[in-house]
Amino acid sequence: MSDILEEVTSSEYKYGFTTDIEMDTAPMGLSEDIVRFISLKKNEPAWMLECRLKAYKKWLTMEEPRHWAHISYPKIDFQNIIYYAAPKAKKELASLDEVDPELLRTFEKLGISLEEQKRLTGVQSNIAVDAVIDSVSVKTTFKETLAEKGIIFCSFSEAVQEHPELIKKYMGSVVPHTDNFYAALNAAVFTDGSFCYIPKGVRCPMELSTYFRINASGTGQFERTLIVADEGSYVSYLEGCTAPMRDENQLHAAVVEIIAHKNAEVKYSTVQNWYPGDKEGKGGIFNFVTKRGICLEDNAKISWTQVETGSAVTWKYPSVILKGNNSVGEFYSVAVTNNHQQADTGTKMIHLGNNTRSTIISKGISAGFSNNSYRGLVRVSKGAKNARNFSQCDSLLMGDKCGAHTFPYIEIKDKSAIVEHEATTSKIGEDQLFYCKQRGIDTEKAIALIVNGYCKEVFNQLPMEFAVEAQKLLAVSLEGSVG
Amino acid sequence: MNTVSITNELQTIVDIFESSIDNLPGDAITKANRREAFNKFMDLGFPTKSNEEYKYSTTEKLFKDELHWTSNKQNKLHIDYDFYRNNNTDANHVFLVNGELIHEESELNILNDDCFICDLKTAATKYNSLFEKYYAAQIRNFKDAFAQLNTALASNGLFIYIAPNAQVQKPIQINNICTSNAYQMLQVHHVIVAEKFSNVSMVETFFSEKNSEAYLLNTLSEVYVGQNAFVNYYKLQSENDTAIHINTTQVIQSQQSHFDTNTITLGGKWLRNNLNIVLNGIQCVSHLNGLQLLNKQQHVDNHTLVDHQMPHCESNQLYKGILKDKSTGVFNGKIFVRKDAQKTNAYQSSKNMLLSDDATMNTKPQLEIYADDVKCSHGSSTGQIDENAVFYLRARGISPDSAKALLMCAFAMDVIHTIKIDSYKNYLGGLIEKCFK
Repeated sequence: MSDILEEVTSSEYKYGFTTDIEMDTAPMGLSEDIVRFISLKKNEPAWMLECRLKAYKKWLTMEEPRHWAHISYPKIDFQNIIYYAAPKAKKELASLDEVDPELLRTFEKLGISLEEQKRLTGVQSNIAVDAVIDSVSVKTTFKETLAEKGIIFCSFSEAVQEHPELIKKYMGSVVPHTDNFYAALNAAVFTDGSFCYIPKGVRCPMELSTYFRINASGTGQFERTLIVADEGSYVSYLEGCTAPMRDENQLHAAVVEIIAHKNAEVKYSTVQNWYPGDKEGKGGIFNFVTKRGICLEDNAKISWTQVETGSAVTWKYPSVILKGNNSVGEFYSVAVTNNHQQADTGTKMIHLGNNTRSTIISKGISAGFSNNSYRGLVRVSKGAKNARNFSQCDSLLMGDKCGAHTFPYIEIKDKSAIVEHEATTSKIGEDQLFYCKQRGIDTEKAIALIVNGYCKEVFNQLPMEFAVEAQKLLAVSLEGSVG
Repeated sequence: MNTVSITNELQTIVDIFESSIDNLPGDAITKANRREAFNKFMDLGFPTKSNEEYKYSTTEKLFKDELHWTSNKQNKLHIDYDFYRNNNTDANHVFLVNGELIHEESELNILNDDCFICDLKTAATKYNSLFEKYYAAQIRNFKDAFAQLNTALASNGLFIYIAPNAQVQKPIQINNICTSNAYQMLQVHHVIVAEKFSNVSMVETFFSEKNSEAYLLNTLSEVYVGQNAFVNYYKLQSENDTAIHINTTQVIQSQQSHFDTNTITLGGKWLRNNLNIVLNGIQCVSHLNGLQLLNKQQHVDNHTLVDHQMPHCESNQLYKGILKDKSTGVFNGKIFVRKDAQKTNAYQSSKNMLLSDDATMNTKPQLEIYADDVKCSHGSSTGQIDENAVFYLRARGISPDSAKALLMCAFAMDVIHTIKIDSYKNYLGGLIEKCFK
């Protein structure tokens, strides 16, 4: 526990540094030319450019979704954003030695030493990392090891070049460009991201991970992740993110698509720690993300686990479409907001197949002047027999200036469905605190202890390395919110 | 198509308003308020799907047929008032036909002269200061098109005033009977004032006459519950298959008051119930219960909002639904706890049974909480009849149909049991049992 306390007392946002790397950026603003520019920069085939332009045209006709979410933020000027920023890399990198040392130091500061990862091959912590800085994937580790098993894990642009048939088949199949405002924007201007394909019957031997970092000023980050798990395969995927401290708001609009075939299982974990803005609510990232998975065939399973501590404004609903019979969807979430942060997050479970099951566990913690909302949809479509859902949303309030809200939508169109939802809102019990204090645990520590216990159901779902990080993060986020 | 027809309707409504404003009850101040409400309505327009509050109840389809402004030409001759009286013998019955008070059939003398029941027109003239004080006072900042429209146009309705310390023993039963010979739009507006330390129970029923055509009934009740007052307000909606009914109940409670309401929906084609309770004093208690038994193509949307503004209040909600055939049910409940409303206890529960694959139940139980020292929870479940329970009964020689009826009846009775007027409770119990036979 002592390390948590140390973190609590010492840190604010420790990832708030910037790195001086020579950047290659597009002119500010968005137009058809910029879309073409990005496509050209990435040396993309014609079909890809066509997809982008189609999305761009659609985006022009769409309106920013503002009327329903429980968040408020200043109007975003989409012409005031740089849509492409990349560390200047002149040639293909063959090994880590060729990566800009400044860049490596950045990742070391973030606690994900690519160098170290490389050395530790086959030992203990076994995570393959795809690092994305600003708009471009910098380096993917462990590629060769994975290739032996037939697993494709590479940057999205690489996949466009090398596996166009897979990209063509799956991209936009779960989140089409027509889906929503930000998905359309992303489809038009996305610059990179990760692609992952697990072939039939393969159990991915290590955790796959993407690390996102916004570095340059005035840019938006638009990345795209596509995970395809073929029949009978398994993969656990991690995502982490940080950004420098700036007074301006930066936009992050990502799209994540997951496709799980027959008997496949995908576990997607996120620790989201974008810069949340300062104590007065100045600056911070606008995190408007569309994440969706589909259990395409029978017995597939998709599980989302998220720990949300960062971002000034979060707007995110990782969803599962349960199309195959007997498919399973899960959503475990801890969302923490402090100071002036706002979060409107939750999930969607769309039951289409027979005997589908879904579980939603959401834990919200609000402190300071923040607002934390759970918004989730459970839909049982007509003809989806024996669907089963259980949802539990708990909110914890720390202080009387914050808000905790629950907005579940439950739509049932089949009589065989059994759907349960329950939600509670409360504060940390005086008696619990008293119990701890009586045993010599001070208030701050006691709260960390209680909150960790409160979130345990979710943390248990996280891979080991992430669980430790998440616990520390939680303590840091709640720093100063006591009393 | 739909938008066009709505625009047409809006134009019709503007014409109606401009031509009738001078004849509506109330003096110059009220008229100004009416105009204000009307302007608000024009700004809001009829809610569309993109209105989050009307997400599951689109109003477009309400205007498929041509809408007529009610001319209030009632045919009260054919109404069998005793039929309604016999529903509940232990009550003072008041009859409204198409919103208009039928004096000769109603018992308006309750308790003493300090307490009165009269129609809006009488209230506007005879009790002008009370009328000015209470009419539409709660609606002003209300962002609901139907409530504003009602406030602007309502010419009919009741004004019920219960004086301080008055204990009204016999329940007041307000019988709304609608009869229409064209697709009429009716606006009824009640004002109910229970002063401090008073006690009153009311039942409001809605029936359509047998040969009635379709109509759109837009009713609004403003309820003022004074300090330490005790008010029970029960509603029964049992209209015919063509009736469209928007029912708004706006309640404001002062400290240590107690308000109980219960909405039973059995009939009607398209219903929307808005129930908004403002707990504006410390230590208030509110109980909100509801039951909907739907079949055919009925659509019923129950919307509740409990606004906890002050500390130490308690609210309880229990809404149940049984849906058959192609019916659609909606429950949208919100518990809103303001910054200062510490020590709030608020509970909400929505339980529903789907009996057909063509039925739909949409629930949206919401918590919006800005105070930390509170206990708030909600639960929602949707399922079907427990097969084990059916088996248990069948093992004891009860036929499958009877077993199911018994279980559904028990499920529904939970809500009926919260009613505090015995005669009304028994009447409802009988009605519900009949539904499952």
